[in-house]
Parts: sequence; C-alpha cells; structure tokens
Amino acid sequence: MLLEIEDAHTGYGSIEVLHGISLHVDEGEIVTVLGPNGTGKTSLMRLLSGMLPLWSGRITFDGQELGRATPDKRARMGLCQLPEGRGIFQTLTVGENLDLGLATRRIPAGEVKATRDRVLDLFPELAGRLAEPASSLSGGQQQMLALGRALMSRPRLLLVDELSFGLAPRVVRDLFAVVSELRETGVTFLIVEQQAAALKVSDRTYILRGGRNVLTRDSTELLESDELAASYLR
Amino acid sequence: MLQTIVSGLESGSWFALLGLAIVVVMKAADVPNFAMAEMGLVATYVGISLAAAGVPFWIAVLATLITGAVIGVLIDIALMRRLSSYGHFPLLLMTIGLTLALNAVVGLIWGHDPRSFPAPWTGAAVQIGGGVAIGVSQIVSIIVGLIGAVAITAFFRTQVGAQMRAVAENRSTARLIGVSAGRLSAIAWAVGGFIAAVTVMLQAQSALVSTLSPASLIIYGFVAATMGGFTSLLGTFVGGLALGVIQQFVGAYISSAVQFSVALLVVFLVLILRPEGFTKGMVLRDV
Repeated sequence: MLLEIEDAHTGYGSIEVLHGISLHVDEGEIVTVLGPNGTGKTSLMRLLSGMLPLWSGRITFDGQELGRATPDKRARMGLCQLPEGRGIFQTLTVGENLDLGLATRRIPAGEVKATRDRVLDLFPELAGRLAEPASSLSGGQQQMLALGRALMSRPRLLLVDELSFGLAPRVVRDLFAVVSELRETGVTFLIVEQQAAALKVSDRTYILRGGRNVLTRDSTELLESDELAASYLR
Repeated sequence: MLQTIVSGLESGSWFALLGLAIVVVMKAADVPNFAMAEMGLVATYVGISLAAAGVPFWIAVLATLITGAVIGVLIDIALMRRLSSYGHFPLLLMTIGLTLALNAVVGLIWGHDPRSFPAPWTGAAVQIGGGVAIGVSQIVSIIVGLIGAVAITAFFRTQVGAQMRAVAENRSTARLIGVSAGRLSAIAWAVGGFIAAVTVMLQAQSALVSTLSPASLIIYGFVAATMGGFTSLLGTFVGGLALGVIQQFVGAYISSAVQFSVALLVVFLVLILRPEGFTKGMVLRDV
C-alpha cells in the first residue's frame, strides 16, 4: 500500500470538516475521490499535503507515518501535488515553472535533461514556449504545465486537485489521456474531482459526502451501475 | 559638477547595493531586515582587523565577504527560523533588536572611533582634465555596484533564484510543490549578508565608517528598496543611484544639513506617486 488513511479527522479552527475518512491507494493505481462541492475533498487534499493538521487518525505514505511533516518535506518524499487552480507562477517563464519541479531534488543531476525531454514529449505545446511568460498560456496549457512540473519532481504519488477545473471537455479528455499514459510509466494518482469523467481512467472510486466516506467501488462498476447517480446526485 | 555626479553615483551605489540586499531577503524570507547595514559593519570590521594584523588585502576582503554571508545564515538559523511561525511582526522586531545588538557588539569590540579599510588604491585619483580629479575608490564603488546589480539579476535567473521568485509570488503553492522555504531563506540571508559586507567595505575603502554610519546607510537602503516597490531589482538599483546623486546635489547646492530630509521626502513622493509599486510589496508579504 502506497498511501493509507485511517479514520482521519481534521478541520479549520474548532470546526471539524472531515469526520473519519479512510482510504488507501496501491502502487500503480489511479484512485478517484468524487463528491459535490463542500464535501471535504479539498480539505482532504490539504490534509494530505500537510497544510491542515491531522486531528486524529493515521496517515502513512510508503510505510512512513506522515505526522507533522511540512508540505515541502512531503513533496520531497514523493507525495507531490497538483494544486487547486494549477498553481502556475505567473511571473516566471514556462521553463522556470517546469524546473520548479526539480526543487524536490528527487532527480539526480544527470537525469534532469532526459526527464525534461520526456515531459516535453508528453506536452509538445509547451516545448516551443519555454522562454515565454507562463501567464501567456491558455488554461489547458497551464494545467499541462502544472502536470509537467509535477512530473519533473519524480512523484511516487501525484495528488491531483480538480484536473478539470475551468477547462473545456475536450481539453479535460486530453489531460486524462495523459494521466492514463503516465500510469503506464509507474506514476500513482489520487484524483479529487467533481466531474465523473475521471472515472473512465481510474481503478477505484471513493465517494464522499459531508466529510464522510459513503461509497467505495471499482470505477468501471460504478460507471455501469446507477449507484453513482443515486449516491452522488441525490 | 562632474565631481558631484560621481560622488552621487558612488554613494548611490552603496544605497543601491544595500537596497538590493534588503530586496533579496524580502523576496525569499519575507522580512524587512533593518539589521542589514550592521551585518555589513561587523563583517567589515573583521576585515579591517585582519588587514591591520598584516593579513594581505585580498584575503582580508575574502574573509569579510565570507563573514557577511555566515552572519546572515547564523541569524536566519539561530533566530529568524524560530520566530517564523509567529508571523511577520516578531521577525521585524527581531531585526530591529539585532540592529541594536550588533551595533553594541561592534562598539564593545572595536570602539566607536571611525575607521577605514584602506585598499591599495585608496587616495589615488584619475585626472580627467580641467583640473577635475576622480578618486579611484569612487570608480571602484561604481563599478562594483554595477557588477553587483548584474550578478544579483543573474542570480534570480538561476534555478534557486526562480524558486525565490516563486516563493515571493505565492509562498504556500511553492511549498506544496516541494520548494523548501527554509533552505531558500538561508540562501537569501547569506546573499544579503554578502552584499551588505560588500557595501560597507566599499564605503570603508573610500570614507570612514563607525558605529554611527549604519543608521543613515540603512535608511538610504530602504529608500532605494521602496523605489523598487521592494520587489524590482532594476527599480531598486536605479532608485539607489538617483538618491545618491540627488543627495549630493542637495549637499553641494543647498545644504548638507537637509540631505537626510531629502531622502525621506523622496520616499514620501514615491509612495504618493507610485503607490502601486509599494502596494505590490505589501501584498507579497501577506501571501
């Protein structure tokens, strides 16, 4: 098991928003967490990245308890995040944004160039624009850049917060195609989404509601059944 | 006239360099460091003592620079890092406290008499016709100031520099993707201390420095940084040079008694005419 969350509680100030979430992600899997707005999906991401403290319960990553490890420490352990709203730095160039992924120092100096070439092969649209300001990119391209930057950090597990956020359906489809391509190269994903589109590429799906687990299924099974509509759209 | 300009560019280079040191620490570590000039003073006094003890000039210079960087790192690790979870205000107070403490330490060890750091070229001058002479030490200050500004700009283009700019733009996102704020802050303090050492050393190879001199230098440095909105390197550098020249002209044609007031008047005007530059700096602190 790469990531295991057991009965996690957290919140803001004195208000609890996650009331005992449990889930796990195995090496090489794509796992989706679905739920409408305000179900605690983003709080779950913040908990995993170390921006919210764990009130009670346990989170282990690669056999190590995460405890109070800071966000940058977790990223250096290989628990990397595609932040909500992409987190592209507008004052930096496309190339500089990409190279920020190297801040985790998980890639030996000798492999940097090969990794960058591989990322640019995945996103040829970025290759010709490395020297341009990141602010000149479209929303879809910025999401590619965010994904590319995360790959530059050689993640073990990539936490993705709303890959589809504010993007056209065609762009979302392309991005999910890249996600399943990446899984073949050994990257594990935990994707938090509002849109059920993510289910097509994922193995298992957790549905959250009101800060609690309500359902866990194989994604294909869920897509075929009417449970999704029943539990999610209710 | 020409001499006034050159003198202005000379002191302007010091203001610009110190302003740049302040901006570097501000960008990465998010603290307005009031102790910057004092850090440079301590380092420079170490160099002066070494030179006085017979250590060759360039080795004393190297020791001064290293001391400046080491002081920066020590301050960050021993003091700033412990306070960082309490917000900006304690950090700011700490730099003010450090200013007083470092100044007192210099006074205790070296006394309060003005000193200089004589370079092999100190006292030499270049005749440029018409009876006008320019001191070599003035030229050194101006050239080193330019080199420093170019070097700092180049530094912000490196990978570490880009990480600092990312932290300045959005601290929490930068941490999320694995940028270590602690490591960057230590580097920024080292760079800041290094530049502060360069600045005070430049001052001391041309003029006299003492425990009294950092007080005005830090104000001028902050005025330069203000002109760059605490973020723009070019704005800070040009602002520092302009401030030096303005100040020399005021001293030469009005009175040296109002030089200091003019610097504060400049801040006043910048804040009124170009508040967006300054506001940007304020937002940067809140992130």
